[in-house]
Amino acid sequence: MKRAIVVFVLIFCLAFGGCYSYKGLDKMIIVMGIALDYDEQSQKYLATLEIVDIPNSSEKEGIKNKMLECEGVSIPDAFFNATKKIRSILYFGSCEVLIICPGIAQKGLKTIIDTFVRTQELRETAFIMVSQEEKAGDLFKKAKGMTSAIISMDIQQIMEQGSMLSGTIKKVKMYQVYNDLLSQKKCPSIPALHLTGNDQEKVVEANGTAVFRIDKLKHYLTPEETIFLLLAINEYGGGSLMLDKDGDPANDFCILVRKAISDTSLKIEEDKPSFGIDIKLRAVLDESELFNEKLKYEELKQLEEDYARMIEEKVKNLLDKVQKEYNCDIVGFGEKVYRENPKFWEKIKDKWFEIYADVKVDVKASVKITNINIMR
Amino acid sequence: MKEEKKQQKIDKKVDEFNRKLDQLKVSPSIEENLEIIDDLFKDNQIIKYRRIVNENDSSMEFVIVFCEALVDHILINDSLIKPLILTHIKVGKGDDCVKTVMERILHAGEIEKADNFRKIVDAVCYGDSVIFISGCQEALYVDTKKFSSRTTEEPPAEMVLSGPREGFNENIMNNMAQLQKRIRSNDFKCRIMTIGERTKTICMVCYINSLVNKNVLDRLFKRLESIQMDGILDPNYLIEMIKDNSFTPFRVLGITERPDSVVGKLLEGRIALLIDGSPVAVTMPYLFMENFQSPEDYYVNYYYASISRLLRLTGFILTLFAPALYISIVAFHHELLPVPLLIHFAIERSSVPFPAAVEAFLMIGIYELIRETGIRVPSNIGQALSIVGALVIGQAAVDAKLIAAPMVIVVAITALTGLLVPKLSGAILVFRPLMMLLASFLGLYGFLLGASFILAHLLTLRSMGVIHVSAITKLKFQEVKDLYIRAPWWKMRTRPMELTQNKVRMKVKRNGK
Repeated sequence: MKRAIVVFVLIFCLAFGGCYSYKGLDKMIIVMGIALDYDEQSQKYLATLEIVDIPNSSEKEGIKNKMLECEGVSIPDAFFNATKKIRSILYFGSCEVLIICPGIAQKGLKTIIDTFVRTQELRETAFIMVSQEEKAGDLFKKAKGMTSAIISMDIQQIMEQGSMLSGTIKKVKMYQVYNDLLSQKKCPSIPALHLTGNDQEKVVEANGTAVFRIDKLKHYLTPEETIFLLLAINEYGGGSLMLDKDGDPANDFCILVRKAISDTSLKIEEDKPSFGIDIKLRAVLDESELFNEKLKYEELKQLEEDYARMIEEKVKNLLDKVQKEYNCDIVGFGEKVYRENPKFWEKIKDKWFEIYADVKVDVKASVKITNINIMR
Repeated sequence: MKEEKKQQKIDKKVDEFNRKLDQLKVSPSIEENLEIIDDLFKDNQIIKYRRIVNENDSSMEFVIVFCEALVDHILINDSLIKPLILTHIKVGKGDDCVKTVMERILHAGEIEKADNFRKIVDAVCYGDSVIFISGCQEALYVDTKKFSSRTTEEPPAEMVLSGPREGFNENIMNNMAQLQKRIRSNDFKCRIMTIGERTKTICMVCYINSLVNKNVLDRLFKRLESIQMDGILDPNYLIEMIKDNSFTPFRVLGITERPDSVVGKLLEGRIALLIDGSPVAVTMPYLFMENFQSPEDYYVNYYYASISRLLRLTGFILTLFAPALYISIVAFHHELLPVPLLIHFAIERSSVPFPAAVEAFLMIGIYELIRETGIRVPSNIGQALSIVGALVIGQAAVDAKLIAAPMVIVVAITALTGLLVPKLSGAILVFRPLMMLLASFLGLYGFLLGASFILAHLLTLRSMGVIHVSAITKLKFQEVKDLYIRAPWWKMRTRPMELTQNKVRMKVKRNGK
């Protein structure tokens, strides 16, 4: 009995004790973000690591960042080469940001995602993004942090919070891309970043979504298009929606979305799949043409109707574009078919992209304005 | 061999002396008795005697022998000497004389007969006065004890904000009185034992007959009877002799200086052991959760008491595990820290030459030294000490880059919470460094290993045969109502299960329902 207890305790501790390799906090370099470039000429990966500049940081002056550049024929090789420059080891445990350059994205995501998933320390929950700048390293080197001295922390916050606030950012974690690539039933779409001016300095800004076909970059969606993509795939976290009624900006409406739910449904008729997207919105009125005038109930109903039509139209347009023009299944219709009818999926999976281009999608939206945000 | 032979010789001598004492009988001649007394108490000059001759019958001679330091002189004068001098009653010779003196002459409460010198020596040494009567083959000893003792004060280690402020003192009869006046029942029993071959210390085992668990009581008596020591001065002598697990640093028998606390425990079926000369009472069986209980819990609002008790439990866990957890996170498992905190820790740690483990041992060691010094030092130097301690531990060590600032916080938490459960300080002192050692070599793995072994050790403990950590296995409200929390009094309808033979405390629910 006693021996059994001891064995149990040892197993328990081994299972829940985590890894026990000693690394002194003072003997490691904390990597906060990775920007990955590929040089076609030398055929080498160039990684720019944003690290915490511990020797120059202090209580009074705050935290500072530093760039560590390294290159190698493969990504692990690049990281090993970095250790030639530094006396400590690289620590990826708190790295939450991974930016890849457009070159790599066009070449294909598979190799790098595979490498990073295999890296022990780097978390699978790290955010992955595509740089719209030619060199992803420029995002770190040329930009300045807005709210934090470390740009990666800013980017992480933009992804975490921005997706909830503005509704124009599709946050994507590494494991999601990995899953998409592995299943081959859905095309990944990843947020895009670019540099923009702000008070004579350059800062990083989220700018729409990069759309992939299987694992190759095809196209960038604008921030506005991203809103309707998010609405369609039930990832919209909230934000404002404009309604242009008659072309005159003075008469625009704006609503603040409190909750958005969408549901995809599948119908198979005569071996032809067709999809329905049902979007439901609950919102409050944020800006109205009728300044200081009471909004009548009928007018409010009309407004809700207008919004619903607008959303339907925009989502339809967007889907048309990704279906026919880029042929990227970013909504995951293929996955939907597989989940609801695996046998049917087996039949069509080889020619799925051809079917997908012409698949019929029926978009339905309903908007409920619960509050006009004015005390009477 | 030589040593053994020597010891055997000494043992023989002691035995002979004791046998002689038993065989020495009181003689009818006063002079002979005095000679023996003189011989026995040679060189002990506080043993005095007083010769008395009755004024009506000069053939009636008495001698009173007493120990000057221990007796009440007024009592001897008024109740022994005066009646013996003034009495008209004829004492006579032979067997009746002792009876006559005892029953008709002396004005004293407690009188007993003695025919050999063993009893007489014991009596004189404990403040009784021995009366030799001429022509009698027996002597009398009368209780004339009077010792000075401390007044009843609130024990400094168990202060309460509200509740009784009486505490025990060094006089066992006074302590007994404190209990008896709180339990006015013939069901309250008190058995007297004498332990210690030389000190002959009086011990009292108190319990409430209809509540006590008889198995526990038998076990206690068996263990007490087996003790062979030449002296006991404090209950801890006995605790270490009778406790179930000899080597555990945990306290498995309770100690308290508060009579109200003892009575509370007696009413739950526990047993109390009082020892003459010490204000500390031992209570048993002792459950692990009693470490976190305070007598005040029962005198204040039950919400307040319950939260305080949970705080004490948290305090124990923190003080035992905080440094070890810090070491394992900082040295092994950085992923557990939020990123901004990790960066700040890294910045702090970068200027410190030692690894976190060395730092922790250094700081905890310094803290323990300062704490121990604080206890030993006279109280008026204490202030200077605390200033030095605060400066050394806090400011200077960080400024000198000897330790990182987060370590100061960890040590402060450890030290503060350590004071929350003084009853467990022994266990904490042993297990904290052990945990730190395991954590500094194996990280969280070692941490969990150590924690599991502490838990396993706790589970093996018994207090007088009763499981020490019974709280873990309980699920019903009536069984945990007074362990982690303190339920309102109207909810505490039963007594703790293992401790008593009579579980029901309240037969009727509140408001007669």
